[in-house]
Amino acid sequence: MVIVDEEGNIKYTNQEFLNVFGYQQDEIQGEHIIKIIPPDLRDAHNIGFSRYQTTGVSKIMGQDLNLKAIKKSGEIFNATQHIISGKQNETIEIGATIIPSD
Amino acid sequence: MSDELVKNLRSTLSKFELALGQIKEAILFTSKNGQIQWCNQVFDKIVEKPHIEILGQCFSELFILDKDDNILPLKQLQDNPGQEFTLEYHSNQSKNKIYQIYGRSLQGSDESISFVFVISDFTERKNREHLALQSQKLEAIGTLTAGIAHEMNTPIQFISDNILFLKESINDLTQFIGVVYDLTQKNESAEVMHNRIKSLYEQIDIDYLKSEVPVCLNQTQKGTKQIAKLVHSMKQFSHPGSKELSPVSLTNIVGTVLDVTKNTWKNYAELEVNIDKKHDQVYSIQSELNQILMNLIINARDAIVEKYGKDKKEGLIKIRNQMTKDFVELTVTDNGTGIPDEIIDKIFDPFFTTKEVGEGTGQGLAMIYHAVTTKLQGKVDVSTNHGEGTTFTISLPVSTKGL
Repeated sequence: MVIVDEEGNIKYTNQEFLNVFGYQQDEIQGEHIIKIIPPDLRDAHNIGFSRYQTTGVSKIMGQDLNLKAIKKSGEIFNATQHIISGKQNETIEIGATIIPSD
Repeated sequence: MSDELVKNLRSTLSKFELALGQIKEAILFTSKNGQIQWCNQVFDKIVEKPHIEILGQCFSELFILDKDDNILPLKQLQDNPGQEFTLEYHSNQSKNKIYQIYGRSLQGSDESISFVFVISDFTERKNREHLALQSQKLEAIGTLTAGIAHEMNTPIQFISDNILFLKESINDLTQFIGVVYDLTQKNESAEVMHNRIKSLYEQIDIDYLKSEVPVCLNQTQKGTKQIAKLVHSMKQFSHPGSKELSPVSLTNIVGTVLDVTKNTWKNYAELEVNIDKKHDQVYSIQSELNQILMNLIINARDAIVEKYGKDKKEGLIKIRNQMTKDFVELTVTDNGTGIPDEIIDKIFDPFFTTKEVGEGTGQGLAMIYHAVTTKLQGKVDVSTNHGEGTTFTISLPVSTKGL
């Protein structure tokens, strides 16, 4: 599980996240979420994330998605992801669960 | 990068995405392997999948082309960064849809190649073109039907007159035979019999019948042959077999088309046909060639009538063939008005016509150009002298080799 702020910076990761992606807590904390998105999908992420930030409209939240993610090692794997957003102390936070499906 | 700058860029990106979602064309960009990195809503709708499921998929797997190799010329684009191409494909998913695809490769600052595609739905436009071609064909059929009806009417007229004459002749002959038979039953003297038969023979004028009946029968036979040939040509014209490129005889095509169009030109022009038998065979589609030659002949006739009027027969239409390196050229030359320089570039455009409203759809030459260059894999050329005449040259492949 991972939580990011409204800019996409990683605020919190649980232990399982670190296990799956192969990062140490201090390596990933504060980094941008784009780090776990495979290069081919980064354009789509940038555009989708920009749309969400500017218009508040998301096409992906609140549903199970089968998406690819990239580990620290560079290995790309399929995962079921579920993304939600919420307000915490007037700031928007976005959380996702990522369950490898391979 | 400052947060403010990132925010500005995100706002710009999102405006672009919103705007690109509102146009008619599908837009997408892919990695150099064809993996979709982004697409607009129009593309989502074409492939009937949720946006998120499209991202990362291979373009050619989602958008299956009705093309033997199902491959977009990515390699070609890749080798020539910045190249553009426009191709028409039939998508398999949406049956009967035709799309035009524009593609362009881009080289990123890090040497990475990506592709941008714009896909337009061409179906409606193609259908319109198809309808226009249909109406051109109907118009041509109308012209031909009137002409053929006239062509057939002449022999039918004299055959019908001949039958009337033959009927009367047979009546007379039957009567004569009846009288002769009666006389044999009545023990009349030879002299009486001779006189009766002689006077009836002269009265009926059997000598005349003897000379006229064979002439009449021959003429009738010729007339029915004429009609049968015309019917055969009409059949050749309307149900001419293969829609694929196959061996076709120019002599047959020219014969068929001259038969069915005869009435449209015979009062205004002489036809001079010179088909070199050595180069008679081409690889083509008979039905298309029939239509093309018919259009060319009717155009030649129109140019001749425009120049000399309908009262004179000063027109000359020459049809001939010659061999060039890879093609057999079929040329149709007329001594009509010719084409003015200022419109020569437009004559193959759909809907371009110099004829009065109701006299032409402006599809004739456009149809010829389209059919020759696509279906027949040949070429069309025109040379003209304003006021002196025009030659259209249709170059046709002689074999499937090299196609």
